Amino acid sequence: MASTDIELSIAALTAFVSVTITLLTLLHAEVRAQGRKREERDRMILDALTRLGIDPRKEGTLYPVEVHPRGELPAGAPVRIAVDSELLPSEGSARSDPWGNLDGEDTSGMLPGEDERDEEAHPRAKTSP
Amino acid sequence: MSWLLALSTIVTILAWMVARRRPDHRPIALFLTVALAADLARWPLRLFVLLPAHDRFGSASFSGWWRVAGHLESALFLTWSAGIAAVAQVVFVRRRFWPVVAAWAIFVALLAIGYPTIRGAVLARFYLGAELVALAVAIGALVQWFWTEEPSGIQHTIVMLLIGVDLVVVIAGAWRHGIFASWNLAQISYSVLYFLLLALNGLALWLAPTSSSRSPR
Repeated sequence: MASTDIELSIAALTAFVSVTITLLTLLHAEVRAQGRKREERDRMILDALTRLGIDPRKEGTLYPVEVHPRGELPAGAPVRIAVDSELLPSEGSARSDPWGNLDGEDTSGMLPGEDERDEEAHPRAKTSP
Repeated sequence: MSWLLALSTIVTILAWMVARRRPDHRPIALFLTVALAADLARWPLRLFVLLPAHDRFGSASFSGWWRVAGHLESALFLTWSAGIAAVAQVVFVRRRFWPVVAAWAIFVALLAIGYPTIRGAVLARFYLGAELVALAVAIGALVQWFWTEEPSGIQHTIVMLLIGVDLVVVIAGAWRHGIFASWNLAQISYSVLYFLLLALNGLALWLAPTSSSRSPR
């Protein structure tokens, strides 16, 4: 192999390795960022449920909840959670996913104290300790 | 290769501009500064001292100030390897870089003590050993970081690029074909690296918040 061929091979190999590393690390960063967003969202949901007097882990039931707005939560944005007793999984329910998607259903839940309808919308809150 | 020095200068200035807005970029800027300073110092040293010394001493070993200049050039050459290990320690595992500096000083002292045995082909193997130790330290820090939940930033990408390109240089480049005869192969790899660093630092500068966009305190 001529010297120029070696130089071109080294340049191509370096470029390939560099671009691959760059793309992989950017992908890795995105995966970690998404993981952190999911953890943050789950924590906010659990906090909100706790404020409602519901401890899903203690009661052994996960409540179907809807986070509004959908998708990414901007930092500091209020999280509205609706816990509807009609949507709770019951025996024989087709909803096998405890965090089931509520697509097409009402997503305008309120935090307690925000509206009188909360008392009706969140019967679980009243019965919880 | 003076244009590589020019490229290195531009990338270093860009890195400091990023570091002014993002303090977590400072280790990268500092590493690039040390690498640039070492290259700038080695250039006249080789041109005006070591090349005339080779003409004067021929195949005999250097002595006096010529020998000191030779050891200084070796110490400056090893700053790149030591720098990669140090910046990986700081960026990946948030450790201090002084142990790496101490290891670098020990390697340089061994070179000086081992002279004239350590010269020519033995010196090339010594350099390779130092390079492999530095890469092992850097890869160890990278693996440690990978299992943590630390957020990934552009400085992590840059250190991974430094490690990756150095591995190419060691496995397929100048170290394989002989560093004293084929260092132009390493310069090709480093040119590609610096072009990517130019792009990444430019991207980081573009993404970094400006002082005017920060919220008032």
